[in-house]
Amino acid sequence: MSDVPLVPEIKKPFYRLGEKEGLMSWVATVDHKLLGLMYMASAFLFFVVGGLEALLMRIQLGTARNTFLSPEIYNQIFTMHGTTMVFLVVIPLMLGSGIYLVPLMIGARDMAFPRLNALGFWLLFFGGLLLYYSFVAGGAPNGGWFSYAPYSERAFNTTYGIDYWALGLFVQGIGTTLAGINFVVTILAMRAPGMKLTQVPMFVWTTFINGFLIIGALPPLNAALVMLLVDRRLNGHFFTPESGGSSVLWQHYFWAFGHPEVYIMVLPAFGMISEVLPVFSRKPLFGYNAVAISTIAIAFLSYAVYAHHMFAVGLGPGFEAFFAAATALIAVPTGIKIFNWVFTVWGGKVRFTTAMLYCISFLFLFTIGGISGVTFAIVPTDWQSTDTYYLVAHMHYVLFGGTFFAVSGGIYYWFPKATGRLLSERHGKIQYILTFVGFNMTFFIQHFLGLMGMPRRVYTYPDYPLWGLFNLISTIGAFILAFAILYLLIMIWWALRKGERAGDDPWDAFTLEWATSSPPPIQNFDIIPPIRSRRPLWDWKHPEDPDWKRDQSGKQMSMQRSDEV
Amino acid sequence: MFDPISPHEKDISDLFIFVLILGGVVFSLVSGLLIYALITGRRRSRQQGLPPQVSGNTKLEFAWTAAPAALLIALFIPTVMVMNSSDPAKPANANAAADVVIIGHQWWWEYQYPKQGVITANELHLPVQPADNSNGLLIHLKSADVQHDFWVPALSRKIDIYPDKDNYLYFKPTTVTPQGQPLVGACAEYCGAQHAWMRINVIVQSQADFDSWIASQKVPQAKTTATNSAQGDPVRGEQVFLNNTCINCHAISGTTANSNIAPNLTHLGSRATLGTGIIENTPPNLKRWITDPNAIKPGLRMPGYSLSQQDLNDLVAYLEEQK
Repeated sequence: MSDVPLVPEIKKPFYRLGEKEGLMSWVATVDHKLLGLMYMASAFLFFVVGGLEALLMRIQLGTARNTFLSPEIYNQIFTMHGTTMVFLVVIPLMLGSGIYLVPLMIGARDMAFPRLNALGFWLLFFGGLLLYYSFVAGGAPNGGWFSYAPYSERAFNTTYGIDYWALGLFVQGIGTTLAGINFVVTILAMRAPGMKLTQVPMFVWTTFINGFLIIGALPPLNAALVMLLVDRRLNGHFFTPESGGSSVLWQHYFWAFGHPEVYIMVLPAFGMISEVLPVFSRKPLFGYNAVAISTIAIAFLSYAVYAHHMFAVGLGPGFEAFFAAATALIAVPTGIKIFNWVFTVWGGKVRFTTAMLYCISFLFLFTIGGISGVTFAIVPTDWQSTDTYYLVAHMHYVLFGGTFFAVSGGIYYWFPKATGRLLSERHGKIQYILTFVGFNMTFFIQHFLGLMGMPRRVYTYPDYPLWGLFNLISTIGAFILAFAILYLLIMIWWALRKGERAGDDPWDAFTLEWATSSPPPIQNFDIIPPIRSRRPLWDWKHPEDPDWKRDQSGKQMSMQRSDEV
Repeated sequence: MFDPISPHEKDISDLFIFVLILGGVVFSLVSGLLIYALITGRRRSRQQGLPPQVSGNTKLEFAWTAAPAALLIALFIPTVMVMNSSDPAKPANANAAADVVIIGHQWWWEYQYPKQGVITANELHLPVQPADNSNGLLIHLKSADVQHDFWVPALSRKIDIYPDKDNYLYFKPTTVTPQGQPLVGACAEYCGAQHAWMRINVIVQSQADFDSWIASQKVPQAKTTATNSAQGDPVRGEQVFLNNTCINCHAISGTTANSNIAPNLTHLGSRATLGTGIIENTPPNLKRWITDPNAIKPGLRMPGYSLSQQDLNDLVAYLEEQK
């Protein structure tokens, strides 16, 4: 397979790094690998909870005029589903994979600030627990994941749910911001000798940009959350129209955070795609510079497009036209990425591993999500499609078909590195098919429901022709999807105990993390191969045909370079 | 798409179809390229050796930067055109000139016709508009409590409704809706427990029918005639209505009841549904509603009334008689 020696035995279980044993080794750790895995485990814990909430919603919506859940309960459930999935699942998945992988990919010992790293995780985890404590403290929040004023104000919402929502997100928001700072500093300061910023793996690059996005986007949310708390508990008047506040102001604050947030939830997924596709196509990433620059472009533009979430507000044609143009511009860098990924596969030797299948599916599903997203940039079509099930479908195509498919690919790809064991490819393909079928069955049909006039966030609906049937199909799909996730969790549990030994480099990969043992030792690396290109492992394995002597058409350059001795 | 019955909505619908077709073309292109790459990549995987290590192509990068940019300009021009045509600019005196005032409440709709002096609830009657260049009916939208959104897909764009922001919109329905088949819509912004049952019914009538509807709304009180007491006595029913706490929230024109906290019940008998769309308006349903509205629409502010059978029959006879 490769000329890198395989390590046959796992000397220590992946979860026992350092001197301490048992639970204390987790609680007290500042090691980025354990913290990264804790982020992932915490994300999956909340993913199961949020997924069960989704199933409750789909049962309620399975038939017209269903009475399975009362409207009060349904409204709490959909609020918690959205909040959980955004803040306690997708963000931790993005942060956790970065915290685990970035130091390994850049040949570092750890993150720049290990203790800040641990603080960030615990803030996020306890922020989540604080949010869920609301269930036993008199009722969960019921304002939806963006909790529009003035419904979120005490005049209309007297339980403590919204207070726990604001406090929980505030705490986890601080944790997320700390992780963002840590990423930026780590990637700027901790790269292995010789590794230029233009040579880091694309996942590192997208995480780097993501760090800036987090630092810029989370503070507006945290400020707004404090203002909401001041309103609710200290009788402030920021968002209370009856006493001179502004209800639209909340929307500006929220979406100034909320749109960059969309990219916070997807940029590292772009990075994962950019790592997995090349390895299983046996080629380098096509157009590294274009993908990197388009990532910067997306990050910049994401701050200038937030008001496309507000086209139904009635803010006037000049305002709307500006944000429509800015939003449409984002399609350009996104299109650049999609085409570069397609051409990464183009001309390669494709290995259809489960990781690769997930990443290929990402390309299809994310393209659908991107195209349906254009409907929300074009103001008049947004006026019809926003706040309907069409939007629900779009956003799940981006976040589930996009981010989660990429993360699933990433899990199949990096699980052997983290644990030393392979996930079963045979069961993996079954699990992939279940996920793909379940996902599309659940969400594709929701496009039609939205265009037929079904608003989002309704606990039930009139028995119009086809509405019941389409919703039932969606509900059945949701159960298939839930089964697929259960299947994955069982596969992970089984692989941890009895999975096939992976060795250091099971995929014949290109980047540094595969140069160390699986799982990596506490110090990460004993030796780091020389870094002269974006694929140091390729150069190491193919000394006769190294990347750093190659032009972009793939041919070896004939001239001698000054660094060639 | 959306079965448009107004030129405003027709423009949006046409643009939507155009965007979806364009999207279909782009998707076919991307997936076609990808599928081709995968099929050839699979065939190549059985061969010896490694593929050429191509890592980029500047010309291609320029091509797929320029092509979407050109496509977006092609989309942006109709976007701005349809923005103007489907939602024409409003006059400066829109507040005074409004034909209809729509007020969103948790969880029902109040419809005021300031020029005719009529207030009704939950069924919006509109006169059909001529298919000329006029903008149509000027609508003023506001909220009495939290944020709502007025959305009738066949009629126009959706628009948010705020307690602290006045929004205006033109409605220009050019087709009369068939008897018993109103245009349907719904509140599209989450507004609390019963957001789901804040349905909208719009009845578009010929000018003559609309005028006679207005005239009937202005007749303060329909014929309150004593009938067979087994069916309920409307005259007594009026007293039941006025002597209970109904009048704290509801209004019926021509009586002393004039509160607007809850839907105006003048001519309730003429409406097709109760509870803003949740059940059909029939005497048995109305009895269930008065006795325990929270069983039908949980979270509602209206309390249940335990009236005697006689009182209930009379009250329902009174309310249903007002057509």
